[in-house]
Parts: sequence; structure tokens; C-alpha cells
Amino acid sequence: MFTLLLILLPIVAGLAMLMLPQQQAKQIALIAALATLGVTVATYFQFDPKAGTQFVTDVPWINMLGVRFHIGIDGISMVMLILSNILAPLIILSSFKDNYNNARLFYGLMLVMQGAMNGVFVSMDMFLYYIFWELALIPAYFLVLWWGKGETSKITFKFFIYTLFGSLFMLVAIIWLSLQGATNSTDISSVYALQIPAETQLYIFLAFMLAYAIKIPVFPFHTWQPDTYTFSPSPATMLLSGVMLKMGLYSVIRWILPVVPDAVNEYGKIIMVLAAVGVFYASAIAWVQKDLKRLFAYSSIAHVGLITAGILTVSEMGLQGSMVQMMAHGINVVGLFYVCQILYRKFNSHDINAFGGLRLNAPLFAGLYLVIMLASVALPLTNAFPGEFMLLNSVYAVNPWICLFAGSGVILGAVYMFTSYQKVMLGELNNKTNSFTEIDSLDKWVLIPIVILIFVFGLYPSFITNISEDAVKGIIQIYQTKIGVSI
Amino acid sequence: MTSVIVLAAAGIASMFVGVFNIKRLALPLVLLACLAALGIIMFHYNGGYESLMNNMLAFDAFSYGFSVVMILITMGILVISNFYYRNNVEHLSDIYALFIFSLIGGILLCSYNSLVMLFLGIEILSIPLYILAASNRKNLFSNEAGLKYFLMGSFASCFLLLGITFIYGTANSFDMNVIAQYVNANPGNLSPLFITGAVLILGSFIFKVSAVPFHFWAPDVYQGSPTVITAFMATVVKTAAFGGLIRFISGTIFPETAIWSDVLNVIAILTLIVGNILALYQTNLKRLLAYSGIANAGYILVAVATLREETFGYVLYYLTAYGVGSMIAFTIYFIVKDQTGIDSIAGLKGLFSKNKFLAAVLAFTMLSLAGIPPLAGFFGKYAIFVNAINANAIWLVIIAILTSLIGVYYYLRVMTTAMSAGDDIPKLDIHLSYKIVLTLGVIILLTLGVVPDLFNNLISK
Repeated sequence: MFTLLLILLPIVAGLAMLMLPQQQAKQIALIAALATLGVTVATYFQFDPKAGTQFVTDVPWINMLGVRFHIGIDGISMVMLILSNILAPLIILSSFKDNYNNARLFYGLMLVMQGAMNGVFVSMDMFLYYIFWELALIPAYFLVLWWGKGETSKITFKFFIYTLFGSLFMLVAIIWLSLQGATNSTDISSVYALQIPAETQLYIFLAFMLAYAIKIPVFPFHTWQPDTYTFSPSPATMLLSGVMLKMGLYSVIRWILPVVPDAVNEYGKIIMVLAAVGVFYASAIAWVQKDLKRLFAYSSIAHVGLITAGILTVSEMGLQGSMVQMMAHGINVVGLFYVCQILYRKFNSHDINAFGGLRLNAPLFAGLYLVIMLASVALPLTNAFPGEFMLLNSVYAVNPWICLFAGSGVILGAVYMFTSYQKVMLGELNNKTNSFTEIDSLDKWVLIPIVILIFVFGLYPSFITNISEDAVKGIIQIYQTKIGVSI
Repeated sequence: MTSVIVLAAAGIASMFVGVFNIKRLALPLVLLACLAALGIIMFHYNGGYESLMNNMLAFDAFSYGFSVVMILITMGILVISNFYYRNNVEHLSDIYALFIFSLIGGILLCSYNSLVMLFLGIEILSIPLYILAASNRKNLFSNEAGLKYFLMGSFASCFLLLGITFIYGTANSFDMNVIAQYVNANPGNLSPLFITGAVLILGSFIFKVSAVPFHFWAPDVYQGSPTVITAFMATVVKTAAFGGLIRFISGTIFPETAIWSDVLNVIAILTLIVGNILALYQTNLKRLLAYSGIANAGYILVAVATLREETFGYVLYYLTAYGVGSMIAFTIYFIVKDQTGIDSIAGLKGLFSKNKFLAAVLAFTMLSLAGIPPLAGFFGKYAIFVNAINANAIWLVIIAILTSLIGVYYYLRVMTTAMSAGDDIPKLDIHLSYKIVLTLGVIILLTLGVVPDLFNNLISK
């Protein structure tokens, strides 16, 4: 029941928003998101990491094609749900000072998107999973189209067509998989039970990986991302980078590793190399960015590249590291984009060189920004450190050279993050930045929880790894058994 | 059979109503007749095989499903045409009668069991349409549309007749059961004359469903005809033609896949590529919908080329999703064109700012036509892909997927334009009957997408 509630609560609230008054749209959206968070917390307390998939709802849906409405929560899903539902209220709160036209539609779309993403994380039927996967894309499309800046119709077009291009091949793969069993079924149990010939696995792997590589995005499929992130309205950027790209990473663990293990074993390294090259490439580009939001967008590509590489090692270290790092990246990136938004509200610009000396006027803001920045360069004690450490460790075990490239992101990350911080916060005030004042209580309500989360997960990463441990081991076990069998 | 008689009687009565100057009664009359026909079919048919008129017609599960869908869509179009022809009331009852006659042709085309009946069905379906396409007499384009459709249609009928003759010459009967026996008795060893005949019949169907390479008539005819007629051609006529095609293949030449499957494979691929790519370059909304009609014929041909036992349900589902979507799109086109004169896609810019309802309906429709879940259009494509992959036609599916991406592009362009900021379009009045049809259409698209089994229950007994 909890699972169903986690999907339906935001979606129904989002649709109901359209009939509620414009003025209170923000508050109502926040209440809905907090209620969803409440359900998530309740779920967490009743959740037993050792008990496999729980809170299952499983009813027949489309009989003629063997599709079931099958949802449930295992350790991996639980971590993703915590991430998604912690971030949603923070993101909605972060938009309280901005007045978006037609606010109820804006927040309605955000809630529907949240519900759809929760749906992706709990679907235990591939068809259902695909529906939610696409459903999450439509609100994102409208959020960017209507409230973005610049030539939004071109950017949204690229974004939509690009991501749909990948998904459609995944759809073919899903249909193919559904027809392989004794009876037509897209259920997770029958898909996991398939023994697919090794040479066929390659095609399935490619079809799935294309969809996920675009969504994550992995180099060289990332070209839609910087523009979309830069020109989207801030809350949409946060939802896209904080939660939506995790759909891709999550799906690699859920649908690629156990279904096509031989192909991962054989060709996974190629994707790892691409991901590692992407880390270096995106970091290098981030270094020369003059637009702060764009810089964060590129840094996001670098971070998720490392996570992708770690997942494809299919080791417990790599997968657990990816869980920790997905959580960390989600929290940090929302913090970073919120810093951007605070600056944008004041100066109507993201130009790094136009700022300077803000620390003098806003020491608290400078401090909070510093913590978030340190977290995103994975300083020990912050939430990204354990994750990056585990990921690099796992990649090193596979190939030190890939690790070297993937690790370059940490060093380059420090360089560009510190440089940008220096230019924005340190130095002397100029005519424009003179008027900057300390952040108010609303901003604190967003940034302080983020900083607290940074330290909580930095000091206590086992909170996450405890939840996901059994589920991750289960995935690895299926993977290894299947590889063993087919050799 | 009773349903066909009821419809025919209502059609004739509608013409008399016109003569006696009580035109107000015409619409209720034909709608009631449609409802009665629907009721008779739904309650009378028991799921078996009903042989009629010396086995010339056969009413079975297949005809049942197609008839129900065609009657329902016709009713929608009848309702729309009442307001559409508000300034041209003198011929309204004749127009209704022609719609009904055409519908009868459609029903026959989905229930024939003899090639003679096939020919009669196609002609009864088409002849009213030739008149309807040219019914806007003062408009040159409408005249062109009527003439073009008539000439091309007669041409296709010639091929059909020639094909029927060849088959009669080799199998010695018009009866499909006898022809099927002939095919089964000579596996892989059919007379060349028979094969020529079958291919000629396939060709005339390819013309009727406006698939490449016989698609050239469609954009001009669709654009020139009055919009309600275009909507009728894009929905009911297409449904009937696909019904006839599937019936012909499954009833006669099914075992000889070399004749139909290979041919239709090639035609499906051509149609998908040509239809979708040409649609990309359209600036006129109605013409875009015409090309989208060609492209959608391609997806259905994918299913027909990989025909199996359960395919007809998938095809019918797809046709319904496409038909309802097109009907909504044509209606919106008409509402905008009627009050502002705008007929280009670019002209829709800013529709959303003053016409929220219309723009939202348009968005739903375009998303459904583009095949985005959870709308009916997505599930239709999904079912067709399942069918094709089941038949191991993976390459066909990959081409269909790639071209459907082009489809997403042009459907989305319509939606994005309508949803973008701008205030060129004033607040439009929407007649109540249009509101009802549009709302019902969106509900159908959503419900069929979320609960596809519902449709299955409706069309099967």
C-alpha cells in the first residue's frame, strides 16, 4: 500500500493542483511533497533490508500481453525513494521566492514528475517501468518549454527527441524480452529468469545502454544536457539533475546487470572507458566555463561518469559506492544549483566574472556554499567522499588506467570548483556586488538542511549501505550465477 | 444483417426528410439509426459464425469488432458535421444519408465472404465519398479533390475487378472458402494467373489505405475536401479498407506468405519512410494530418505484414486510437480555421494563452499520435511491435521505431507551437457539440491507454 501511495500521492496532488487557487499553489505543493516524504519515512521504518522486495502490489493489468501492475520496494529502490522524496520538498521550498506564471500548473507538473520518478524506482514490471520512464519525461518537457529561458522550444526539442530516441530502442528490447519466456510476461521474475544466448545479449545490452547513456548522460551522449540544465527554470534543473538522471543509473543496476550479464562482462569495459573519458572531458570543459550554472552542469556529467563506471564493475564495492554517491550527488547538485539561483535572483546572471567579494557581505552564505562545494569535490567527512572512494577503489580493481582517468575528475573538480568559488565569493566587491545582502531565513531553510544532510551521509554512509546491501548482493549473485552458467 | 437494413432505411429516410423540409429531424434520425444498428449488432451477435445470403456475407468476430468501431466513429463525425454545415443546411440531410451509405459499404467490406461482395463493399463505400469530397461546389480545391479521388478510385476499382477475374478464372469461384481450398490444395504451386490476381487485389487495397506507392492522391484529396469528410476518410474509410485487406489475406492467400507478407513488408517500410519524412516538410496542418495518415497506414501495414491469429485485435485497437486522435485533430483544425482563417502549423502559435481547453486537447492528441505513454497511441504501437517481434520481424520494428521518432518530431512541433507564448489567436467559441466530442475523444484516448483490456472486451464476444 505504501508503494502505491508513493506514486499516487504526488500524481493525484499534482493533478488536483490544477483546480486549486494560484496563490496558494506553492504551499499546497510543499504540503504534498512533505506528505510524500512522510510516507517515505514511514516506509523506511517498516522496511526490513533483509526481507527482499516488500510492500508489494501485484495485480493483472493488460491480460492480452501478460502485463501486470507489479510494484514493490527493495533495498535499492528504498535508497532511490529516500533521495527523490527528500529532494522534492527542498526543491519546492527553494522556489518559494520566485513567482512563476501559472504557478499551479508549474507545481502540478513538478509533482506529477516526482510521482512518475517514484514509479520508475518501484516498478517490478518492465512495461510498467517503461510507462513511468516516459511519463516522467513529459512534465520535464513542459517545465523547460514554458518556464525556461532563451530558445526553449529548440532546447526542449533536442532534449525530448534525444531521450526518446534512446528509450524507443529500450522498448524494442523490452518487447523482445517479454516474448522469450514460456508465457508472454514483462514481470521482473520472468525477465530475470531468462537465459539469453550470449550473442543476443549484446543487442539487448546496446538497446538498454543507449537509453540510459543518454539519460545519465554518458559521454558522448551528453550534448543535450548542458543547454537543458542551463536554460531550465531552477527547480526543473534540480529535478532533472538531482533525481531524473538517477533513473538511468538505477536502471543500469536493475535492468542491465541481471538481465544481460554476459554482455556486461564482455563489453561493459567499453562503457567504463567512455564514462572515464567523459569524466576527464567534462571536467576539462567545466574548467573553462564562464557561466556558473553551465559549470555545474558539466561537473554533473563528470560525477555521474564515475558512478556509471563504478556500477559496471559489478562488484559490491562499486554498486554500494554508486548508491552512496547517487544520494550524495543528488543532494549536492541541488545545493549548487540553489546557490546559482540565489545569485541569479540578485544579479540576473550566472557570469562568474561578474561576481566577487560576496563573502564580505554574506558570510553565512559563503560558508554554506563552501561546504556544498567541498562536498562536491569529495572532501573527507562530506557525503561524496565515501562514495567516490568506493567507486574509485572498485574501478581500480578492474583497471588502474580507467581509474586514473575517472579519478582525474576529483582533481580537476577541485580546480574548477575552487577557481569559481574564488571568483564569486572572494576578492573585492564591485559596483554590482556591493548591494548583495546576507541570505534570508527562507534560503537558510533550504541550504542548512542540505549541509546537514552532507555531514550526516558523510559521517554515516552506512545508513545507505545498510539499506541497499542485501539487494545489491542479490543483483551481484544473479549476475555471477548467470555468467558461471553460460561459461 | 438487420443492422445494415436499419442503417439503409435510415439513410433513405434522411433523404426524404430533406425533401419534406423537416431537416431538424435528420440528425436525430441518423444517430438513432446508428445506435439501433450498434445495439442490434452488440446484442444479437453471439460470437459465432453467421453465414448470410448464400454465404456471400459472413458475420463473425472480426466483422463484429470492425463494425462496432466504425459505427461509433461515424456517430462522432455526424455530430460534428451538424455544426460544420450550419450555413449549408439545404443539403445536410443528403450529406447524412451519404455518410450512412458509406458506412454500410464499410460494414460490408469487413464482412464479405465472396469477392463479388468485396467489390460491392468497396464501391458502396467509395461512391458516396466521391460526391462528398466535391460537396463544397464553390471551392475549386474541393472540386479537384472529388475529381482526383474519383479518377484514382475508379482506376483502383479496375485493378480490383481484374484481380477478381483472374482469381475466378483459376479457382473457379468467387466464394472465399472455395478459393482457400484451392490455395491449400496447391501449396507453392499456384497458377501465375492466380498470383497476379491476388497481387492486383492487394494493390487496390494499398490504394484505398493510401500506402506508398499509391499515396499521391491522399494529401490533395484530404486537403481539398471539407474537413468533416476528410475526418471520415481518415478514420472510417481507413478502418474499413484495412478490415477488407485483412479479411482478404486471412480468408484466401494466408498460407502463401510469399505473395502477401513479403510484398507488404516492402510496402510497409516504404510507407513508413516516405509518409513520415514528407510529413516533416508540411506547413499546413491539414496536409500534415494527411501525411500522418499515410505514415500511420505504414504502422498498420507492419502488423498486417506479420499477420497472426490475434493481430486483428491489435490492428483494430491501433485504428481506433489513430481514428479518435485524427478526428480530434481535424475538429480542432476546423475550429481554428473557421474563426480565424489560420490553417498553418505556425499560425497555431499562442493557442494556449487564450484557449486552454483547445490547446490541452490538442496536446493530448498529439502525444497520443506520437505514441507517448500512457495514451492509446502508445499502446497501439506497442501491440503492433509485439506482433511483429513475435513474427521475428525485428528489422521491420527497428525501421518503424526510427520513423516513429520522426513522427514524434512533427507531432510535437504542432504541440510545442500551440503551447508556446504568443497572443495572436483570440478566444475562440467552441460549439457545445464540439466540446462533447473533444472531451469524449480525450477520455477515450486516456482510458484505452490505461486499460487496454477494456477495448478487448468491447470488440470481442
